[in-house]
Amino acid sequence: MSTTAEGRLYVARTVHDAVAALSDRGPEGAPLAGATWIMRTPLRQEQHKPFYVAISKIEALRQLTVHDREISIGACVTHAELASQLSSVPDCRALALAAGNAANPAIRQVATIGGNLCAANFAAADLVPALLCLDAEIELEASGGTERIAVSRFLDIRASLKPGHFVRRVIVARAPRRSVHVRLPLRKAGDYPVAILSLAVTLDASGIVNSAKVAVGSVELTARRWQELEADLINRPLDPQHAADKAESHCGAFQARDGVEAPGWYRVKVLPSLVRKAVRALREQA
Amino acid sequence: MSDSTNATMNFPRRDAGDKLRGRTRYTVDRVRPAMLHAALTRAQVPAARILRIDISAARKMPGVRAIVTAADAPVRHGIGIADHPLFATDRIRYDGEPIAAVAAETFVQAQAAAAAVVVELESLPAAISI
Amino acid sequence: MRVQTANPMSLHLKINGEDRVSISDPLTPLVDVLRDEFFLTGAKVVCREGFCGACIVLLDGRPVVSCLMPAGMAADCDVRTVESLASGDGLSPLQRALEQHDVVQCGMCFPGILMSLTSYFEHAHSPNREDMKAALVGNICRCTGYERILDAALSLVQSFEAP
Repeated sequence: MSTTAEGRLYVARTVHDAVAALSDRGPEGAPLAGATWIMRTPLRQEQHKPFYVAISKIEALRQLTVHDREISIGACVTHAELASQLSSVPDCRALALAAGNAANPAIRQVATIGGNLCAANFAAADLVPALLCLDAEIELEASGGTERIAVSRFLDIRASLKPGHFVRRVIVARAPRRSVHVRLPLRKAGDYPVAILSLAVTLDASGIVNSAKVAVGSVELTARRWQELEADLINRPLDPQHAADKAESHCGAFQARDGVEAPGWYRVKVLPSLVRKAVRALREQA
Repeated sequence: MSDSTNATMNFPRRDAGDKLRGRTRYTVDRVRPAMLHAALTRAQVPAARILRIDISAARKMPGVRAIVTAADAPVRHGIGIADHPLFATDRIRYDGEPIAAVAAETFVQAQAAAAAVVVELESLPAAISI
Repeated sequence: MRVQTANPMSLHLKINGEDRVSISDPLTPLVDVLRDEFFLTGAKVVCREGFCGACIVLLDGRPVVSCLMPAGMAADCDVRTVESLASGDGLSPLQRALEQHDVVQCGMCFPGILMSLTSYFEHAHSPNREDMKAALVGNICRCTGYERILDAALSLVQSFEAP
């Protein structure tokens, strides 16, 4: 079953089959889910892998379940499914917004959360900063079992996963938090955002911020938390202008990337405005 | 043109129906048995003097049936005044200016050969701002 | 033509209600299989990046950019192209509305726009201009400026006609 007689694309129906097929193909194989990144390989002037193992038809990887304590999201849940199924889960608002506004409707129908996490050179991925600010964990299929690691750790190791190792699930712990996701494309929608900001806070009864998680995407090659700004948000109420001023003072934290659509300095320049917008939106959430 | 009746003609475009049905065959939709596919070698700098164009290696590549340059088609085109060369001759005047055209049995073969056309250039200053 | 016959496994596709068999490599983009193998040239290849929407077809009722869909992933799915909308020489209500509102210019974007709008109408509870604009974010039109497209599609809502 796991020989290369199937040709360049093997469509796995179970996790077990996928693991066997990927292990068999070794470094010449790779998982394929929504395929929207992989199919643009020639445009990036890169070479396709000789073999792909499609995992997006595996039912177990397509389940999204909202439990009391956590939300379990299969790696092959699409952006469209995420947006629609999380629309009624207020504590994951950042993820629902990220999924609902990324790219365009047709891409959202097939692009998966797993793919968004695994495309190591895709700097403008929307779901990654949202998952960072929600402290999500990744359940990895690893030799003989599964392993659970923080998203930030996954981002460090994703480019060097062993054959047969792939993302099974994303787990988001539930918490009484407010979160938001803001992005700045060049047009109103439909193109890669120049900068992305995801923000999650917990508030005490009098509206003072207890904890703040800020994640920035598209400014650097990999999304990451903005700890300097987080420190300035806690122990005070949500104040959009104050947050924007503090953001401005911490812009030096970034090694912003130049891209064909915008230079690095511009990506950083717009961050304070995105912070103001995000904090204002959080303040208006119930 | 004067029209004293101030009448307007309100017909739907006659080509709209087929375009909406997806029936209209644009150039890119047309196919003939054993047809060839073309790809262009284009300038990748905005200004340069062309010292040499060598198509010999590209011409021998798999599937390639013909390669043409300005030497084969020393024509000019244009709107109103035909002052625009079809292919760059002695100078490159804009980024993307066609230098050669390849006809091959498949599009992939044509693209590969277009990339293999050797163009030797001497750089020239470019006017890229006003 | 991008058809390659290296793969001995044949690919079963259901296209516009018909069972078809493709001999293309399963990694061939679906748009190339539709156009080059089945001569369904309605879907157009423009950007090959999933941005412009000229290649949009419906897969199990949902819009997908067929330039980024490996044909092997569409196997056993229900593929619908623009050629399925009208029967014979007729026009669907949506096509008729677009014709009558004088929307079509070069026409290159319309197969993709028609499939996006068809899916939108099949799934929208209360169609409105703003939601329709969001549905068309991935359909680029160079000629028309979009407003007449929206007017034409919305005229269907007002006349309570199923598109």
